[in-house]
Amino acid sequence: MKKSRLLSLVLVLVMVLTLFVGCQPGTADVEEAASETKEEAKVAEPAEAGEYGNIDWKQFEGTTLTVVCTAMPVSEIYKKYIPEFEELTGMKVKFEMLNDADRKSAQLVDFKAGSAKYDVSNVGISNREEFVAGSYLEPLQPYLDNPALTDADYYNMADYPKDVIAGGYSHDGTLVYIPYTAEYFLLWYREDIFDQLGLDVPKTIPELEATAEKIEAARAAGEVDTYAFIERTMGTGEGGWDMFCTANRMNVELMDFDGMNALINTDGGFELMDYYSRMCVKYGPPGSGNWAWTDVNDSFSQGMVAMICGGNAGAPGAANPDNSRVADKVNFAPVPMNADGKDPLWEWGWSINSASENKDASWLLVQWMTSPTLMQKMAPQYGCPARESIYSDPDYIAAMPSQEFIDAQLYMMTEGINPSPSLLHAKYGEATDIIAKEMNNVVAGIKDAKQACIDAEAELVKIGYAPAE
Amino acid sequence: MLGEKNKWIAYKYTMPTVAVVVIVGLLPILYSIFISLFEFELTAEAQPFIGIKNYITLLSDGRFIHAATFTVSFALIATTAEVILGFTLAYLLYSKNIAPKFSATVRVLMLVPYMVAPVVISYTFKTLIYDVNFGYLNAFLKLLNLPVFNMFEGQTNAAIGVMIMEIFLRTPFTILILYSGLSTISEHIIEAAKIDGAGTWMRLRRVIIPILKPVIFVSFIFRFMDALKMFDEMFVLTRGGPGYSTENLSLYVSSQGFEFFHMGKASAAAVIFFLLVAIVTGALYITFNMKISLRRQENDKKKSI
Repeated sequence: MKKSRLLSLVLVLVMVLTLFVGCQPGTADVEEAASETKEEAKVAEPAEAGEYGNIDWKQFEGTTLTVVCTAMPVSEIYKKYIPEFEELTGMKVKFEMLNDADRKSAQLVDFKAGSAKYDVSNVGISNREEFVAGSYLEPLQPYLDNPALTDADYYNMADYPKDVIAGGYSHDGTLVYIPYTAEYFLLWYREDIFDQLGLDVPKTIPELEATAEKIEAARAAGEVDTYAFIERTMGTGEGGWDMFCTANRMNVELMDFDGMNALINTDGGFELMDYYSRMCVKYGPPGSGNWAWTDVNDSFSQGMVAMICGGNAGAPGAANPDNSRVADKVNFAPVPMNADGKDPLWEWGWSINSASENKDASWLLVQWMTSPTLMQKMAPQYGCPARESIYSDPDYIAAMPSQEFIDAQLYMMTEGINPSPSLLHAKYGEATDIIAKEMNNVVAGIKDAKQACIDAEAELVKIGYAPAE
Repeated sequence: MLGEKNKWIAYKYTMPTVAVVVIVGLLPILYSIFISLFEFELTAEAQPFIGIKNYITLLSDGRFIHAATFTVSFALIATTAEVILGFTLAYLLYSKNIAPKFSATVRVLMLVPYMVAPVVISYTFKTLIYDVNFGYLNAFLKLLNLPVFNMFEGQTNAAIGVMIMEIFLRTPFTILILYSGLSTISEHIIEAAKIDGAGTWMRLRRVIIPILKPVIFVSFIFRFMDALKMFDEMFVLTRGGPGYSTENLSLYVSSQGFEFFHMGKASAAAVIFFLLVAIVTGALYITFNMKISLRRQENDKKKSI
């Protein structure tokens, strides 16, 4: 009798435990820094306090901070250096990386619940106003102004180009994150094809289309075997971001978010929709009707397309022979823009959760992660640092594809970017999705550009925007 | 005394499962229904009570109606094709003309796509099969001088592409269930039908299918409910495109909740989705049961005569 009871208890316990196995967090997406692994200690060397400015780096010794960020190459690089921070400060850091959609969801749920699970997180510039709207991000200026927490001379905020640091300020003028990347579009082009066909690097939108036409004519004549050009065509925020950036370069507004006006069904909106879809349909490879940025970049690296407007962050990959078939044939230039146009800035920045119980300690981490010293060490590995001084660092120069690439970036950072495009708004996501879906319809041949603009406006009206007059 | 002890043992074993199902399943559903009555935005601090306004907005939104219509029609067509194809293959494998070992081997091989994660299969179809430049399908079509199949050309190609993949992926499940059902049919019934002069087609139509109807119905219902909830395949292959043409309710709810952070609206959409699945499945079940009881009444009348 007793044996059967014991057996039934054991079986019940096993059943309960196996039910909870499925509740364990997945390990595929979530990575925690094993802060004391031998492998990471080998990569990061202990730093001296003066290397990162003269403050008391040990003042929060024993504190544990939790960081969440998007899983991407620059995050992997940060993870390697975290043991150096732990050695410097005596703090512990749990470093979680999630895919971008999960990162944003995890942040918002944490922010909304006020649970302060994450002390520090990365913020993409397009999410900034969404997070600011809920007062989720801690204002950072008081920490910059506190001499006990920041060595202002060493940290040198003036090292950020004004248009890059401007991205860290919300619409109401509050500094809510410190940028660590400065990203924008560059023209990636096949230098060998340009030389073969005697083409000049296009500087304006009409020149870009004229160049695409010449390459397409050469392809049709059998002189080259690449297609001319492609943009992101996916009918989601991916394609939408590209469309809004193209509109900015054409000096066209698609939306007035503050005034809740839809401007897609205007002359400017039609010009953008027509140009964008035409470039994809006429000059893009077959089957490119639902491409994300990875597909666009890969098509260039595989030699399928002669020109793309690609991000500067991904550009070194196209010049890397391990990843690219055209590594020795590629070059970069500022993205073609019309006279009054600029390319919207995209950047990642580090922010502090306004509900965090370790804000001062979190500021030390944010300061360290955006410091001149660390950025100088990391920049050769990821290519698009936010601090201007890094671009003249010998190690950085040696690691980049070409001087033209560095010059194009410097031009964009100082003259070519708009840090406050109207699309940086809490309502940006849904409107962009609607417009991108209509672009997707045009590229698929389901409707023409005019009808797409009319239908996009109708959908925007349903979610509260006023139609264009 | 022995009966009472057995009753308590049964409760002991099942209570942990019930507790987890309630905590992990029922409570989130009830919370979703609760927040569907609020303007619950993850990016806003305030969340006012708005009653059934989310439901009214959804039921008057063409995009939502399209997603619901597409969800049901896609699931119906795909499931019907899977059951017909599944039954045909199961019947062929059940045939006495095929060696049992061969039949068993084929059945195991057919299960391979079902064992692989839907996301992996979807990426395989997207890149290795459907890709216009590198995919096997279009390489084969080019070889035969036929037009290429471009999933993102026109209104219907994307839906057809997903449908074909879904049928390929899920038919093994119906084969498994229907083969098991065929295996339970007594040989004596088949022999008796043969003796009475029934040919292959007659035996199939008048003996095998009627006996197998409950099994066919079960496989249809299970597959139909799964097809209504499909997410991975649509997300990977089309992301609902081109435009909204392959946006089903799962994608719609996901985008409203996790891209635009309209949690209240997404919860209301999820509640409507749940009711839709329950109503459609219930209607099928009731229709099937009515047909069974009508048939039984007819048989009873014939016997009494």
